[in-house]
Amino acid sequence: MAGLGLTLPTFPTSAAAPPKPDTFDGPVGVHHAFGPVPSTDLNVGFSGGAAAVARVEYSPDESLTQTATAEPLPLPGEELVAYRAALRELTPGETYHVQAFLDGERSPIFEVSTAPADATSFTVTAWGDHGVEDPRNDYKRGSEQAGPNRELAASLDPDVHLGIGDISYADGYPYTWDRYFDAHESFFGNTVQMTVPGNHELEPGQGFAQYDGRLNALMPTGGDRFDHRWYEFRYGNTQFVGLNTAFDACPLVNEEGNEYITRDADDTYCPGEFSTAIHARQYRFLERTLAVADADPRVTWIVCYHHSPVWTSGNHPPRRGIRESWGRLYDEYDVDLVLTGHNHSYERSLPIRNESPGAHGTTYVVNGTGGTSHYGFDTEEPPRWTVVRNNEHYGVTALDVTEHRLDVSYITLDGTVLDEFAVLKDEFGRPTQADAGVPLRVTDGSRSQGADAFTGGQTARIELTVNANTPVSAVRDALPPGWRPIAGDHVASEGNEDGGQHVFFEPAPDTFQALTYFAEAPSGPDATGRYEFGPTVARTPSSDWVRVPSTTETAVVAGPSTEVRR
Amino acid sequence: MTDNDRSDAEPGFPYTRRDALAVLTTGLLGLRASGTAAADHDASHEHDEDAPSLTRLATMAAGSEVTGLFVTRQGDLFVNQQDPSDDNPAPFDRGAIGVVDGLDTRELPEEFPSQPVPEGAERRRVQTVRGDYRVLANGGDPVTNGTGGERLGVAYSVDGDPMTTGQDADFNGFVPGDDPDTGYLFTNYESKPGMVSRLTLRRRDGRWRVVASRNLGFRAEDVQGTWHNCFGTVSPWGTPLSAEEYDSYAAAWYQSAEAREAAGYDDPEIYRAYLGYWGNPYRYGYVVEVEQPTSDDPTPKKRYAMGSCAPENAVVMPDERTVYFGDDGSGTTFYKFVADEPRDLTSGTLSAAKAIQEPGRDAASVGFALEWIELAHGHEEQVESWVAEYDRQEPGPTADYVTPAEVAAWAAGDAPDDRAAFLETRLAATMTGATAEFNKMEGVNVRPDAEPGDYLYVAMSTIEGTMSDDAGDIRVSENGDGIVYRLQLDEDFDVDWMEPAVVGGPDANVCGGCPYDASPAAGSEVCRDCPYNPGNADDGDGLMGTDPLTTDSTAVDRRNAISHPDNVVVMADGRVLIGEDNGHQNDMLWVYNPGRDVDG
Repeated sequence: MAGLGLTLPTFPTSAAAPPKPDTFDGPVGVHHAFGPVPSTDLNVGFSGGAAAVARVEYSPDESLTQTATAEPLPLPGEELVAYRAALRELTPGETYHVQAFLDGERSPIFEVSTAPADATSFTVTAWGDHGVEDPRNDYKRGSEQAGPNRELAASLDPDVHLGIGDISYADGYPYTWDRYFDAHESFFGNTVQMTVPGNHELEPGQGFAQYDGRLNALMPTGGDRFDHRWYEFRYGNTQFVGLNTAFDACPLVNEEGNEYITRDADDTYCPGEFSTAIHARQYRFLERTLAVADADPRVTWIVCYHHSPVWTSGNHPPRRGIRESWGRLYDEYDVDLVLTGHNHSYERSLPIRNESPGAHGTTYVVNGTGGTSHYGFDTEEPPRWTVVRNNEHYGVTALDVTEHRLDVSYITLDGTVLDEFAVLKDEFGRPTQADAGVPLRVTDGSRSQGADAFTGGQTARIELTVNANTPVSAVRDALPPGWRPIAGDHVASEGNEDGGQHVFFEPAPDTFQALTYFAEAPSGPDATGRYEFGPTVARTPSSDWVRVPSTTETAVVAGPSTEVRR
Repeated sequence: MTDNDRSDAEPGFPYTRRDALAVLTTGLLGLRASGTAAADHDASHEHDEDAPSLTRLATMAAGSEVTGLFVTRQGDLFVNQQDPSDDNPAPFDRGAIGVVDGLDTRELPEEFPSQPVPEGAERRRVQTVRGDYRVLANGGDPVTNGTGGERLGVAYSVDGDPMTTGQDADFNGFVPGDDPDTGYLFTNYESKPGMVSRLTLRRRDGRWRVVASRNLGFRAEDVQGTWHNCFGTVSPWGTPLSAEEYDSYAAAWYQSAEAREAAGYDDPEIYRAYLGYWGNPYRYGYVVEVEQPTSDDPTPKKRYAMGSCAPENAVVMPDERTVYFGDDGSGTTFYKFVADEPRDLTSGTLSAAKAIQEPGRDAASVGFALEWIELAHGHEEQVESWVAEYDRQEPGPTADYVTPAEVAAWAAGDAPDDRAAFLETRLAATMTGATAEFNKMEGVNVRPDAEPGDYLYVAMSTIEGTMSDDAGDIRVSENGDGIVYRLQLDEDFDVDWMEPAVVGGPDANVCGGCPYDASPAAGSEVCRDCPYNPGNADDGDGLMGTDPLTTDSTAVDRRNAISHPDNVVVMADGRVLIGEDNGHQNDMLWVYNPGRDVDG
């Protein structure tokens, strides 16, 4: 890292002296992650005092006859030590009993499972911005709901949990990390948690040191814990990719000339040599990983997760630079779902491709409601690409993965399911959303019929457009009495209550529709007159008809013997 | 042997070449529109870079004709290999649907070196001068939507037994999906029973990939299978138009089993096995439109109101009403159908052409005036109800069909209805005075968004038999290598003049593909008599210049001229792709550039 502009920081002189930390007699805060091969490799982490003998005992039954040495990873500013044990050559799809051992002191026995060899049905929970209550930490904001949300996630019995950054909010006070793992041990001791760093993992005076020792060291990064903070793993039919969006926060220089991270660095990005180099490496990793996954017949779904969102209408603006670079890869390799946090709200996008919403593409979900406060939205009205957004709840994003669909729901603490949708593959293999619950909003439309005056029996070419927030699959136009549709994109017509014709279209679902048909003007002595066209209406499979703006028009018909006056 | 001296004009020939329409010609490559390509050059052997040219774009693997020529709006080129030699290496040993990777036909320069005539191992593969040919699917591959081992392009009997092999892929029609990187490729299979398949395609990394495949269903009561589906087009409104090349007639269909056996005629048995009941000879020979082509249920519909003959393919003009189609076989007719409403081929007026040959006999230069004889106006529902009257009849003396006498009665105005015009279209056309003398009339095509002044091209695979005898309307000299004719569109997308554009074989009016296109120093003596060879231009390097080889030669090398033109596709810029069927040792794919009007 030398030469890249960031050295491991020392404490900033501005940091207040930390209060006395918790003291723990034995191993505490047992938590797990998958090793390089999730079906056979588990990494177990915990912390405790310096010890002569540190290990993990484990076995499928309660005999705990197998052991793995735990490697100490000193943590700056901490009396406690982080330990890491690698459990290898495990049986796929097996639940192991696991106990941490430190110089005769033992943790409770936990149960954690390896991935089945070919899982096609499993559950994942996720959140960002979780936290823990810790009144001693001046900087801590209230995280009162972190515990209840943990209980909600545990009740869903996930096979994997994703912690998408801003994990403990220790913010330079390492004891809050200890508190975090201790308080949530009932969940993380029994469930694999895969994490990525958020901006709060870049701690004042600490940099990534705490995150690196306690979590990144457990992740299958394929290198030294300081090598990089991104990784991939395949769980059954799903490729997961964890990425780091906190690589380019601005370091400051303290009085001793050391660089450190200020508390105010949040959302301050420095596209300098260091971050450019990190970004380039991470980009290459992402591209290679996605290319391999795309070619892997075992992989049906690709889920990426990183802390800062690239599509959000929350107070923290989207990371547009990352959107432009990673987004292209997400498009190219049909990434199904991108899970993020950072904004303390929930927001789900339409499928997005080429940086615009449409019928197919990657779905982006922000869930920063892990347990620490709420943020506002930047716009009064949800943007066009937003399907659902909410900042009044805490909750868990749950993925139910199966062979043919990826069901996603956002479940809040009171048990309400605030959002529910499925990612499916369309006939071309592109990700798309099946959605029963999005209220249709038709944002724009148009009508063109070439002229505003016709002679009797003349043919009008009618062109309609519809712009909606969610894919529209049926459109209906209204022809005035006497006019009849003769050819075009429509599939049917029938008389309506106004004495005219309803003309029905069933286009391929899309948020933008352009439809053309031809209609013949009435002729004969009674045909002369003024005719009202439209309005056009549109619907989704689950919605009622919704009126399309700007689709009413008046036209004059003059009988064959009458001269048309304009 | 030629006779293109205008002084021989027979007195009283009332038609003139339609030079006046030249003013209608539109921009594009600035393609020349005046005069004819065939007759307006002198024999100076000086290459004129504005003159027509011919370039060999590809050669097929041994045994395979060029089928399935299709150019998308994005410049993709699809090409099929039909029934190639088993001795070729895979995947060139089986009928296949293919694409030329890395070729954007929109980017093809006006002049480029020809693909050389293949030699040795090259003969066993598809060779392309630009891009790389890649097989997307072979006929007989398992389909992705099948549940019972169904195979691509294969027709199955009612009992589920395969009746065809899927090795005879023909027409390709590409229908775009919802973005530029998706689409559906419909493919004909020229077999009995016929078949049409659909590949769902997606472009990844610049290459089309097959994400799903299926065969279409032809068992509906108003369809009853399909027949020898050869070439086609995609209508301006995005529906594939397949065509049933049907060479049967009802009397043979209904003759006794003994007579059928003696004649070696087993079509009725084939269709009985396919349908599970005796078929109806009036269910075939139609243009087949695939409705809802992008849906989960692409539905073939026979366009009964367009009549029954042996259509090689139909092409719809940009008015979305006027349709032209030829009639494959010998002694055949050229047809026009004008739909009552745009985008709706279920009702309209069917006409057949009467050809009036201009003075002279030289097939390479003689054109024909066309007069259109209206046969009848039809509605699909009505025609289909007439057809249905002949459903499920057992062969034998009691079987009812439209006899030649009934067709004659119709032609004389003595029939109760117009069924003869639609069910026995070729005979009806003949009896009303239309010309039934064309020979192996194959692909007919026009450029997308064609405008008045542009040309419709039609391939006549060989000029012989009824075209070259001493009887009837057409009496031109033989040309066993065939001719691609052109017909200029007038303001109403009507045509009334057919003239040679690209003449094949030793009489070629344009040739190309000479090795020195690509290798000027090769010193080959082939193609010496190709005054329009694009390689003869003086490009300033002194190598090509006014090549002495081109000034004192006496014969065209057949390999450097078209032979047996079949598939014809006009590209957006007005150039014409010409695919051969059993012409050269390795069939060739040519690009014909009609040149430009230097004065215009």
